[in-house]
Amino acid sequence: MVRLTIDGKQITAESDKTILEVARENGIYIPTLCYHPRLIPIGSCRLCVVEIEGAERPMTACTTYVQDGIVVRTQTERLERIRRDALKLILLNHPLDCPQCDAAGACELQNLVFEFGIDQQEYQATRSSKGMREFATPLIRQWADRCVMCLRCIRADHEIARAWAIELVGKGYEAEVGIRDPAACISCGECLRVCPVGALTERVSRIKARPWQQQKVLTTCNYCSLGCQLELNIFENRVIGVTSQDDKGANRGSLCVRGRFGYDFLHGTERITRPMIKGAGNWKEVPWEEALSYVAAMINKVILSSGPGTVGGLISPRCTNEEVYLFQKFMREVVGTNNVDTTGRLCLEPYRLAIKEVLGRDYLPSTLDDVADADCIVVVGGDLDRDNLIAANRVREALWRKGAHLILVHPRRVRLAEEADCWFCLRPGDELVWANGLIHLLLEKGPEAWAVGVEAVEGLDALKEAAKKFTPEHVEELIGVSQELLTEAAQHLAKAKRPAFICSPPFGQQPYGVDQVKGLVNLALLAGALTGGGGFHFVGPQANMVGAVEMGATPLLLSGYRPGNGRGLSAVEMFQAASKGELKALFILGENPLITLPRSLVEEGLKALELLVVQDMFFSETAEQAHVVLPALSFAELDGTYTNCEGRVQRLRKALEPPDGLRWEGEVLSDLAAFMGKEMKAESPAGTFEEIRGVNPLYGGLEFEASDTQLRGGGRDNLLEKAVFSPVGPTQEGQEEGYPFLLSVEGIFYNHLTGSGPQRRAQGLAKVFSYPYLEMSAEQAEEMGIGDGDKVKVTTPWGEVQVEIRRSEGMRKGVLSLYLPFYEVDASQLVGPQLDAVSLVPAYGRIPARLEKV
Amino acid sequence: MIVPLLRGLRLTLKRFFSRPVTIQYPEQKREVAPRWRGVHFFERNEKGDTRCVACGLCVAVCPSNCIHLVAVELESGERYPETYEINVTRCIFCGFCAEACPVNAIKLGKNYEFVDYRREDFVLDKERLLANAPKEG
Repeated sequence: MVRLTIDGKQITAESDKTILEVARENGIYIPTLCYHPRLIPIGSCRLCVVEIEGAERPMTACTTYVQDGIVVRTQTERLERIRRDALKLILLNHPLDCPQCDAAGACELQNLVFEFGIDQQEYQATRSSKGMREFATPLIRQWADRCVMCLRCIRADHEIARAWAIELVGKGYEAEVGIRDPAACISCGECLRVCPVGALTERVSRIKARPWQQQKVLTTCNYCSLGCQLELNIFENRVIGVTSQDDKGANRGSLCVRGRFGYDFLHGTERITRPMIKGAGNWKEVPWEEALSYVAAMINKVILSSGPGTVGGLISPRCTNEEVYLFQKFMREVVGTNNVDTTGRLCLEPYRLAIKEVLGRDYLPSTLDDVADADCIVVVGGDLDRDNLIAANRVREALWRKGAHLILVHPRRVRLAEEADCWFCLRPGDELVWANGLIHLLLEKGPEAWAVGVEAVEGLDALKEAAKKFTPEHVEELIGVSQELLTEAAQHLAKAKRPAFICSPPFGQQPYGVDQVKGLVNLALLAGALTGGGGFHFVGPQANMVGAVEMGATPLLLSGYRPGNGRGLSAVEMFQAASKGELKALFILGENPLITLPRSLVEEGLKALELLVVQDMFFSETAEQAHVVLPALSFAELDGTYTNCEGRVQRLRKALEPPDGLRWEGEVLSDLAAFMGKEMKAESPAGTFEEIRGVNPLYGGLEFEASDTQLRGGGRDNLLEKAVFSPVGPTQEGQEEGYPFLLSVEGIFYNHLTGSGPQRRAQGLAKVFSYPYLEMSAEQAEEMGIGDGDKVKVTTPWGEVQVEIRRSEGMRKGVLSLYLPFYEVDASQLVGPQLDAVSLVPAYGRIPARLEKV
Repeated sequence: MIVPLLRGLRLTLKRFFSRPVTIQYPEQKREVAPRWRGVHFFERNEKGDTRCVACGLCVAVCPSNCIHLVAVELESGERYPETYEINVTRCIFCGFCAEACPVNAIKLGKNYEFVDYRREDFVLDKERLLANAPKEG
């Protein structure tokens, strides 16, 4: 701590802060233009100059660190003159096309010029106009004339996203922001966000409006489970853009391409606005009362004739906590069945079960902030950059700002692989052997390599016994990993004081998925990630994946992970039961099982149903098979809460007025219950949250409209308390005869089920990622004579699809990866109906497959 | 009593022989002042379309909130008013919109003859504003 004086005010501050940071914290204003709180200051705009007593010349506040005893003055005549002149020189080349510029009204330069009372361009210079031009991504336009050379965009690209897509080109007066490599651009929009002027503008929305005409509504992103906080910019009941604030949420202003540009599906065509009943093959629009009384009568009929156990419910993990809670309450209390599930559970369950077994609890309290502080990070599973960019950027922050080491397990040479210290190019399903190999090496090194207090944990001896045979030689033999690399990784983990583990699907969604995750949790526990370390994280694809399970949309548990009375049918089992005639009525809310679950099974099940009710925003493939279709609200049209992967409970706020006649899910369900002759009250989202607080012990002390970050389940008690090492041996799985490849069907990718396929609902995202492809090793493709873009037929024991090939350099041979969310390729056909015995999750990873050129 | 009556009639009689002050509207039309603020019109650009760049300043300055603008960005990157409507029944003809316009697109013309049967017809859209522009010469 140091003591200093700024403008006569005595201030005590931490010594690793700059004068600017300290001044801002204490409410002292210093003008800036090139400074951004998330970026390393460069002091180029010269607007933040301050005078320090004893120093001859003024200093830039953003790059000067505080020192003990200094006396700083921020407002003097001399400083005013310097700042004015600096601003006039910045204005030298700035076109005064404010009326035409998108930024006008929210432009930092405009504000500064206004503040300094500059009303003309005093200095003039001739410079040829560059006009508008294409940028590294088609989602952003560049107006080079308006650039003030603050370099914030380039720094954001290099320091936050670390994509190196844009770079400063040219020298001296000719220097400008140029494109270094358009292929490297990940369209995250970080550059757009930090641009202080209108040099970079958003291109998704055709409609533009001035800041004073817009309302900004702070809400939670509905794509992945990181729960980024963003502001929807509303003009005349339309979302025309997305902005973000530096101090809100775990993302601190950063967003990925989906969050920033993937909003236009909200205004997509094919929106369902009226309830519809299918009669004689034709859809008929009916009033709500008629549709609900029909559904109620049909459900009552099924209950009377074959019992409540023949009714099932499937809810989307993008529904709010309140909706999920009411839906499972409706199924359990009004219908009287435990047959309720969500696809979010299919991602979360292997992880939850593994944690439960090793640590004796259902969830972990670690946050992503812990990752940024870690000194060794292990990333296993999906491609974090494509699926959960903000988590990947936190990893990068730790890597290059704190010098952490990265151990990556992924079959493709993904972006993080370039930055990893040890990249293990494993086939999906080999993670357990790999983890056991590392456990073996760590145990060999002795207690100084382990976490503090781990020696007292039960089961250590059993772990030693189980890990004994996983010598580096044996591991190399089993999964083809070099011994040196494994030893190096073990070295990093042994030295690490605060290791962190991040895993994501399809890890855990393979055969023996729970065992796979358990192997990793054992390793994390041994290495110290769970005792004062960076934590063990599971980041998933769906926004309210965690919340949906915690609200009780699971056949095994009640809300808050409480044991229920008996077990219902899981998502896949419901369709199996339906095809056998054991399930007769199914209520699907916001879910599209034809695309997300094993297709052949779902098709068969849907055909056999007596009643299929689908409630969705759009007319999905599944909705076409339904008997009754009900309209649903979008995430921007309702109030509620989401629980993100860290356990943050965050608000969704109503930003748009829904189309006429659309109703909140609570009203629909309570009306439906009334038509069935039962009572189920649901007043409002806030009222329902109140009810959840009373019922769900994890949500006890939380508030619906919280002003601060709130984590469910409370504090970080001792995680070792109930910990028991749960050693897992090798699982018995060989390559299937006739299927030389292992296919992973990844559920997420950029568009994530909003339909950038033929539906073209998310048109902005479709500009960047418009078609599905199958990735395979470039080397192997060469051997097989398959070129980039060739059509191939992928066959698994359950189905086949035709898809384009994309060669992937450095990818593990014998591994294929395909993405689920493109509707034109039915990737779900390839997924088998077998379930993991414990987690009831179908295998999306490690599907045996073969490949033929078409 | 008769005298004042005759005096009055004398004035009346005198007027019979002086120049009349009444303008025979609508046959005869009065020339308006150069700064007259009549019905609005759009100036055209070289392409013949409106000069308006949809900056929204007229909307911001309008004291009676009678301008409705939906700005869009064309593929070329230009801003363009997709919808531009002035509700003349609300307009107070203050001329602030013309004053605020940075590209001199919206102006108040000299026309003061604006009658119709329905309220909707008093909403000037882009086409009508363009058509309102005074003829050359």
